[in-house]
Amino acid sequence: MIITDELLMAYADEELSAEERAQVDAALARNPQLAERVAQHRALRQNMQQAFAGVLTEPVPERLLAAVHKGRSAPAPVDLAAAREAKRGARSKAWTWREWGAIAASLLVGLLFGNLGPQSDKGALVVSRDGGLIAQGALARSLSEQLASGPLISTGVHVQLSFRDKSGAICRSFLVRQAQSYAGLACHEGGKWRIPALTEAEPGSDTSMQMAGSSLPPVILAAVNSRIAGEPLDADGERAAQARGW
Amino acid sequence: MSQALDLVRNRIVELLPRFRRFARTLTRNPHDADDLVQIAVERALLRYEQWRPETRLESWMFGIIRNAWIDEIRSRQRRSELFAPEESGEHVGDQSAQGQLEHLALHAALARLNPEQREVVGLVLVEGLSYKEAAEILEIPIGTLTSRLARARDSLQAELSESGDKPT
Repeated sequence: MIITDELLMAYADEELSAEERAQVDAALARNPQLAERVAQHRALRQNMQQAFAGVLTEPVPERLLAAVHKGRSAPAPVDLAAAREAKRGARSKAWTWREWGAIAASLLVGLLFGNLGPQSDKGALVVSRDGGLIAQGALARSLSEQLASGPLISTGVHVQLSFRDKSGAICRSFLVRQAQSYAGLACHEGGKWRIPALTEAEPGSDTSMQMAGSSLPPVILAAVNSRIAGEPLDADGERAAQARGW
Repeated sequence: MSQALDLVRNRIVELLPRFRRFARTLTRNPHDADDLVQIAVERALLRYEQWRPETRLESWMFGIIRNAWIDEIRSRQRRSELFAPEESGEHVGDQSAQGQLEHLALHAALARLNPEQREVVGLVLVEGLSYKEAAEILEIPIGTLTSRLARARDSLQAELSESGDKPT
């Protein structure tokens, strides 16, 4: 029997007959590379499930429940454009941020904090709350206390640049170096650092940065550019903002 | 109001979280996903009599969701509405919100799949359906499903290892 990759995949997905499975088992015992391939197939499946697991615990939007219970009198929208049109009255652009946050959080849990296991909340720098991401622990402290223009403090968190966004809130970009590095943007809202953008970062990309916008990962740079009003704060501006409690 | 209809409604309510999840694997956009679920629910209720109780309701609904999505893709193309190419799909809509997902490895990898691969990944890997169930929903032979799934996995795996997130 020729062991194809498709066969290994079907084995990992538990789709094989008992007979086929026995043959693959035998092949796996002989060839560790094949076993590794099976493990990869399983890991991918698991990661994919984790990445979308958060959707299941999200509250179901009212409009979907209403759609189930609605009598058959109202005509169904023909396509998404129509559905969106119909919805617009009820919910003015009130933001998909919650929803994005929730997805992002589930992905993060799966990809970034997944290895922390049950105590993840404790050591995590980012938690998902109300559908958004909020900085906590060392990250929250660094965002509040560290001046980008000041001396580097070795918390593993490096605050890079600060600016005022279009709504007047202070936002700061940051880099976290841990087993896995990531870069993000945090904006101070209601006494908390909300994180509208977060991405994995190149390890070791922070060597010479301080201000240099060019060292920001493109996705964070784009998030900065879409929010920034005017120029980044200089050292004085940053200090003044900190003194006002951001 | 018939009992069958009530039954269908109750089951749909229970399954809404899964329908939303499946829709998200197809659309990659929570907004579109919920719109899609809404359309599918409405369609399903209009023709609930077509559901055969020997079929699992979720399978029947997955099929409706998937067909509604294909209709939507086609109608967008007809309207030649901004229908972004796969790579830049995330840029439609709110830039900042979408930005935060852009780099999350798995999402990015999923975004690179074509719609046919995405529906297979959604049904088998995310929803955990068997190859047979998935093939029936998609109305394709099981061999076609298997090779689509294999290609989709290869491409996901390649993307993920490129981004340094090798599965352990």
